[in-house]
Amino acid sequence: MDANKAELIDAYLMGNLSNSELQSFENQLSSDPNLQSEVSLQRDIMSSFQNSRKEELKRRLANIDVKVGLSTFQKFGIAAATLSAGLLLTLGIVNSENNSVSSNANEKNTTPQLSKIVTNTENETPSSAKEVVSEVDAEIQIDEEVTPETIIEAPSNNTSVKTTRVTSDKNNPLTSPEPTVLFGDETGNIQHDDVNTPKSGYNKDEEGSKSSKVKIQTEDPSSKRLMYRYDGENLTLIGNFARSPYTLIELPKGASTELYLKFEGTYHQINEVKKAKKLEAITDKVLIKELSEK
Amino acid sequence: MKDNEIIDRIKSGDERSLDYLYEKHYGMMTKMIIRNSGSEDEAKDIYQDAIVVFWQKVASNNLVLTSKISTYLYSICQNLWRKELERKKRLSNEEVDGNVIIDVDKKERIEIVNRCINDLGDTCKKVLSYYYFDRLSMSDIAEKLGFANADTAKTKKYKCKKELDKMIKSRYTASDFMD
Repeated sequence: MDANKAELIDAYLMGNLSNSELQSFENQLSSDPNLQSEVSLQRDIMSSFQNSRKEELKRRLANIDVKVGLSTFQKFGIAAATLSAGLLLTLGIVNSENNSVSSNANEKNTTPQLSKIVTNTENETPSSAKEVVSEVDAEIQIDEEVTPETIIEAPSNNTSVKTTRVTSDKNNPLTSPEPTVLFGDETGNIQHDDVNTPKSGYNKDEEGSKSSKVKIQTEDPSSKRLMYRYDGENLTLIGNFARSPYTLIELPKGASTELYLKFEGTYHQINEVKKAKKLEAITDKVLIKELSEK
Repeated sequence: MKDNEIIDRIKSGDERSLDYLYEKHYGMMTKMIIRNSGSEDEAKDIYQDAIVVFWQKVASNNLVLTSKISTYLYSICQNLWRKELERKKRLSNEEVDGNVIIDVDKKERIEIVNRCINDLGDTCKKVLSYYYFDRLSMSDIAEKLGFANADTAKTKKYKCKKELDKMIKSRYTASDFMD
């Protein structure tokens, strides 16, 4: 098959022929069995690609369970799962969240943001050590309990939240012995139970600054491109970071510490840059594994 | 994200907009299916299909959205779920579905095509998927895959396709001989 013919068949199958071209192609097709079988093969190829891509996209969606739970909360206006057990923490990690999460859960544009900071050594933060331990227990307990879907259908006392890493609130923990989950109706109206208005989020939060000196702020939330600036202390995330939770990870490397940002399933290294730099995903598998274990 | 921004992003192949959309309407859509006697898994499955259908429709540019995305998605979900319910009903009513004629030749050919696609390099697979399914422009494909420009993407697409055609034809002939 020559290139022109291939292109013609391609255009035909993709619906890119003009009316007159289509007419003449179809005339040709009706009288040329070779062309017919070629077109039919090409059609199969096209649909194979389409099917495999469909499957790929579907798998992608199926993999975002955790966030799904989150959005369900937003959707139904579940304000804050004020779980004492709320924090998905591993030892030595201090977790807190952005102020926008719970109080504004029924505002369209607020998406919870979450920051996770790994302290270099546990001993450096003796005041939080005890807390951390209890939180680890809590995490295990939560994970065992329920899936987010259960929450949609069956709010009950033993309902818990798997996605607490986002909905939980660092700032009002340990007050309620039982997880309190709030439900709203489909229109997004919150049925307020007893929401403690969460305090500020990570960047302004004294808890956060205890464990890390990195201050996060966001800029230009409507921008499509995701960029950042970092001067060693202040990290500015430029772009629409509000749409998903992000996680900041500090990785001790020798005497210094490397900073990484996890966002929507990918890790990006944060270097000190004066000028805004585009976020670039890390591809180093070893490093990704190391970070994912943090 | 506003509806038109989502549409623009989908057109440029931004998969994160798909995630966003999926999360945003998850509750409403799955609830509808569960209310209509679907299981949770079925609800998820149908909703995922609906999102992908939506993506494909937007990508192929033959979608004129006269309502909100959510309304449209909702109707896709309803249709898909109705079809699924009918399918299930058929399955339980008729033990053997006599209407299905299995075209052995076609089935075999599709298998060969699938196998060849699998054997293609990763980049080739992506280029051709983005072209055939996402209907991305050559410059969008270039951006997504880090090619220098649209021309590079075009050349790549051409070479990949040629390689695939060759592979399919040689295997197809080989399997003809085996018959």
